[in-house]
Amino acid sequence: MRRFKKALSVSVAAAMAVSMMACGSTPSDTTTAAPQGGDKTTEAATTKSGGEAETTKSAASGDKIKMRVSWWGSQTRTDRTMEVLNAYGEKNNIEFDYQFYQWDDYWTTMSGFTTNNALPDIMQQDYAYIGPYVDKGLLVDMNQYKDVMELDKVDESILSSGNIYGKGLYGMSLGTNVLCVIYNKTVYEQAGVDMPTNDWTWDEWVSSVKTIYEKTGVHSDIPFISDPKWLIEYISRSFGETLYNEDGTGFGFTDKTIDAYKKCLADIKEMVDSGALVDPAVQVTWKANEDGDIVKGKSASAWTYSNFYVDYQGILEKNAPDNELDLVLMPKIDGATEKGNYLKPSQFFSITKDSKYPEEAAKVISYFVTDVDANKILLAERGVPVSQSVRDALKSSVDPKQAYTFDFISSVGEYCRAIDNPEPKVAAEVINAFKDGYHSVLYGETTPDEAWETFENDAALIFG
Amino acid sequence: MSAETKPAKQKDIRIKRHWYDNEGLAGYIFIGPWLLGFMLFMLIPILLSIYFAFAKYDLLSPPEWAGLQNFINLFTKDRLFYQALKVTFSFALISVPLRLIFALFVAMILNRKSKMIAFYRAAYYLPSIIGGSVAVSVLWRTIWSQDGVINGILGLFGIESTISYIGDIHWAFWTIVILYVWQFGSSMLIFLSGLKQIPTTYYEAATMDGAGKMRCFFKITLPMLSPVILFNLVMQIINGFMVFTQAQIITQGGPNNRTLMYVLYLYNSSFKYNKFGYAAAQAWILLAIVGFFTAIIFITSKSWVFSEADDGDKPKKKKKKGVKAA
Repeated sequence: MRRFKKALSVSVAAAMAVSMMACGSTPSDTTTAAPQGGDKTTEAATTKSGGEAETTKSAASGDKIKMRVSWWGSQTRTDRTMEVLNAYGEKNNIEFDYQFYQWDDYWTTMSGFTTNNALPDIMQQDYAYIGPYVDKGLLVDMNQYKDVMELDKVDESILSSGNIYGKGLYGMSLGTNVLCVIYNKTVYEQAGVDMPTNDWTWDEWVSSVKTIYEKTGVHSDIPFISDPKWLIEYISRSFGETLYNEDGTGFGFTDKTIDAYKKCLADIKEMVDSGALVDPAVQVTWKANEDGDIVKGKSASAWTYSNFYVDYQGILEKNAPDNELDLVLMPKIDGATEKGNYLKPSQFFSITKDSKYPEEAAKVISYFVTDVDANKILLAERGVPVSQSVRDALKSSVDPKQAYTFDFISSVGEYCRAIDNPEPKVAAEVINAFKDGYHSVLYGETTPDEAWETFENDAALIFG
Repeated sequence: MSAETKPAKQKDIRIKRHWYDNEGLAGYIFIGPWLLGFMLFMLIPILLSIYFAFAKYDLLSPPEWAGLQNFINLFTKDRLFYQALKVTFSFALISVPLRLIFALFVAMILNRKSKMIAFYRAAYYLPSIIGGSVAVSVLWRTIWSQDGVINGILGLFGIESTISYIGDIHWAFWTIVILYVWQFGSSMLIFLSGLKQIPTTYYEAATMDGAGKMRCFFKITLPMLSPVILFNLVMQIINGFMVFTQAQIITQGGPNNRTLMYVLYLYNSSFKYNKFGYAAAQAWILLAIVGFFTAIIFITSKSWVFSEADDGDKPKKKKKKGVKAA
């Protein structure tokens, strides 16, 4: 869905980006245009001369604070986020200014803001981007504001995922996901194949796909066709290696990972050829959640994030009412020595260096993730809530499917290992080159060995 | 009397001359807004992009001088650069002639007297108004998908087709070519006005001498239309090299980079990978390529563009301006 909407707004994005770069200033820079000195824009700033203690007082004494918050995502997310923040602002005398975009436009706009020091006070961040932002000193360490945040309510593992490069708490996770295989229980039953468990292996996945196809004619999805990086990252982690090296200047894996990946790819290709997996020419055209075969009961399994389960099951119930989906972790890679899975922060809230009220912003974020009432509005739209108390309180009020993913996330903890360092800034291009290799094998244009060689050449150029 | 009035008149003239009476000034004031916009949004960015082309620039940190490194990487190491060139060249060389032939064909049909002619003209121009838009590209994706309209129509004729056109490595490119050719409206209108200017007496004379329809077309229509063809060819070649929206929305450059248009790759370099210096280098290479093709067309045009008397230079100048503006 995200990609579909992204496509729709792409020309807008381009136009905006161009105009932004051309004039070097943005329309909505009135509130935070001058973070250091020259604060003529807000009354609070002129009457109280900066400093966190004063800022807090000014909020209490009746002067309205203006604060900008930005995020990407669906309309549902936008509506719920605004509802929560408006209610908070009412009580705490904060006037929020919202900036929301689709994924691509979001990052283009934000990088524009970095050039004229006009980042919003609170910005939604992603694990793929937060690394460079921390490197450039664009974000604020939230540990400074520990006292005003209710960090004890947030799971320890969540806090460590926002501890970027071990330098400090630069991101507060807003929800948790895990990569998994969503499979159609009904189809598995019909084919007489054993239900997968979290301990299943790659070979078991392969044989289940083949058996189901032979017995019922139902194919399965190709793993991660639009982002095969997840596959190789999982493989490398399974051998205790990492996708990128420590300082993000090259790969962090050895031949073990490469060989295992080539073998997996060969298996996939074989099943594509036999028809047991979807034709890649068809699968690449699926954009929205509604497009995939898994939601039509025509695919036995799909590899994706656990938060898609709710949506998938909902759509499937309309298309094929007698079908039922279930979640299972990705199958174990042959010879795996380590736990490959990890709990992924779906996205973060971060305080930027351009914020004039970092302490107020910290309070907002804390409220956002730990307050039960706020989360009853948000309804886990950003992934499983990061606070146990919120999860418990929400279980009764959310959709049973949603509650099911809460349980799933809690139950897979023992299969997970801490997340790797954030991605280097060249990651987007590396990932794309990797996808090229994956696709050229799926389309039968080259072999896994040749594809890997091309990819290594590309990567050498990208890492520079 | 006459002696009195004369100096008075002269005095009047002297008094009325104000600083703002300067004609040049008025001119500058009138073009001022445009000039300002041009400087801010065109000239300065263009000059900056020359600098960026020789620098490493990721927006997050200030640009760093990198010399020729961007160009060296592009030409010696970048696989996708050559893929994008290949795709774009094939696209321009296939779709531009097709579009022009189609436009001319339809223009010929519409160059007749009929009650419904205004309606037909509007109807044929319509795709061009909506054609470059995002909405049509989205529509295109639905038409050519596996369970889309095209396969549905084939099914009506008993042809079982399960091709997923936009995901197929052989077909995807052609779906974009077809969409591009379909948007022939503006070329068609220009052809139409060109056709209207050919004196009918030529045809009458030729017909009297026994020339058939084909002969009339090749001996009268084409030569008389050649300046218009030149104009359309130049404009369309430029457009063809700059195609972006369709590829971005329908295929995102896929499958397996089969529709990776040059401008799409440029867009990815800048906005997806934050390599603004690299993208600026790509942009200047594109300018050189487009300039080269335009130059070739102009140089060869002397031998195939027919112009009456010495009037031949006139349309040429016009076109050069058009190129710069594009």
